[in-house]
Amino acid sequence: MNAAGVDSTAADKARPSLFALPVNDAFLVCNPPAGVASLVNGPALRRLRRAIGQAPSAPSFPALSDDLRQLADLLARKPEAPPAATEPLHPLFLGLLPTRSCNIRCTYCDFGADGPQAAAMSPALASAALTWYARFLEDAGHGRMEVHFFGGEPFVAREVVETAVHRSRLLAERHGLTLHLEVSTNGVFEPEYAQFVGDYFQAVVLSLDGFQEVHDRHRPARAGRGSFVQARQTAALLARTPTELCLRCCVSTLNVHQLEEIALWFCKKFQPSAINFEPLTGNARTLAAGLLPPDPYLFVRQYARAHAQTLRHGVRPVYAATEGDPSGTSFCPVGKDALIVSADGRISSCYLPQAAWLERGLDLDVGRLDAQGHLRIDMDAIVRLRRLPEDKPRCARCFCQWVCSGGCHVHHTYPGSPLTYEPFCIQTRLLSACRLLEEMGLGAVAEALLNDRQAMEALAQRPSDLFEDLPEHPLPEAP
Amino acid sequence: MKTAGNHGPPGAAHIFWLVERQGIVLLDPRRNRQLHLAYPEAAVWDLLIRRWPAATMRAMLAVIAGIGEDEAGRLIAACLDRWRTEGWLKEPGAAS
Repeated sequence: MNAAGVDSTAADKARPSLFALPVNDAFLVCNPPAGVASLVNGPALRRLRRAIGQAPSAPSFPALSDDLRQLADLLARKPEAPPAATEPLHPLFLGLLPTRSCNIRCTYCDFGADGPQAAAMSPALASAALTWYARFLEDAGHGRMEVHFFGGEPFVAREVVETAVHRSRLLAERHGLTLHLEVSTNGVFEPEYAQFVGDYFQAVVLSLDGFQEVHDRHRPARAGRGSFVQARQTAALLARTPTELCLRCCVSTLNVHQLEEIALWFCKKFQPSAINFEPLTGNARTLAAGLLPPDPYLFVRQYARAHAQTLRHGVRPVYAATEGDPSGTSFCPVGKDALIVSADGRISSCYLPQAAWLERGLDLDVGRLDAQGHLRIDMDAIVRLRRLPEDKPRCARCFCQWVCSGGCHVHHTYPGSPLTYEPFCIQTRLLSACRLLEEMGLGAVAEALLNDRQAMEALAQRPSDLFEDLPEHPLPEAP
Repeated sequence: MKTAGNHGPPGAAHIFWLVERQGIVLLDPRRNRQLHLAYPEAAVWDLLIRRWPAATMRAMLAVIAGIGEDEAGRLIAACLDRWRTEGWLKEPGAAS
């Protein structure tokens, strides 16, 4: 056992937990899994470095002042050993992909709406998956039945969606489970249907890319018109139903300057539970349409303003890569035993089209549901996916690895992806640092950081945040 | 203000209905009465008011309830009969 009472063999294999990174003229030192962070000046950092660097196995740091010794003790805590990758199956949720078809033609969509997989799932297949899931949950002693609908646009395939909704409700009642139904939708459907959606889904993630001009440019309808009017109307109708409304706004160079205004409008008009600002993922189609991802530094500054605005209105702002506990797992459902059923009966942990992850050299299938309703889960595949975040060379020295863990395994940190930080990393590193500062009540320091491009670059592009990689004299000695 | 569903009439003009965690509740303010529909009857009501064609509705209900289509057809007929008799649905052609 080591000083922190953790089995040293397990701890030695664990990922690093102690980091230091420059924030303006000070240093942010943190141990994310221990929930410890502090902003220290140069002299304090030097003392911490010497003490922690010289005495890795000491139970405390007698050469330091009381405050610094307490901080050093907290910072030196080793993380608990992660759960074994071979633990029994515990799905994050059951996902259904009723269809890959869509009734609009978003410029940036990479969900395969135009691909060959446009067939609708059979209601019987959806029912078989739900029946297995409810029985599994009851047998395993889990009380929550969480079913997510993805697309394409799920409400293009209403027969299967409505059948699955009612089947889920019947099964939850029968097996004594608390049901959570969630759907991701473009909101382009007739107003009368919004009542059904609002009544039956506990959460709705609705794509609304801000004001009309940009939304319609991002998300044109198939007839060439925009989809804004219907999406806005649906958001307003859903706001009057019991569902939790999450508005998802894709951010490009066209709307990055409007995030604060958009946040204010969303909060006042729709009273959502959450607003998710998600930078555009560039691809050949977006490039052809003249849509570009925002500059990451500009996005961070604008997001910070929108973040403050939403908090003032009691709405939860979301930038997925900084959300969640420091568990060492990504926000992505892959690796969390998510079981997402496609129309052809494949069960994957990713809702992106199979071709997208095959192209990256990934196999994200975890099982199969056949036409007779027999469901087979490949536990070897589940275990392999749980271990995906362990093999992210780019993340090895980044302080965000405990929360972000590489983000999307397909878009951001696929096998063979570049080792240098990409815009997603820059955004995540800056927003993660700001979040730590705000949690310490140092919002003004975060604001100063975001107002200084040089300071942002110094933090965001630093190749290693590992405490042990700090140079001997990271800051000049005080006179 | 967010409210649970407070829907217009699928049949009798004065009947409203609410979707609850478990099933659906029909409300009859004129006669100050209510009727809780558990599953699968709740699904019958919902499919009915969404005006699915009869054959599709039968097929959907069969999957929802895990029964054969013939049995689903009988269940639908029994529900319709009861709801008409009790005044939750209007008779075809009757004034509400």
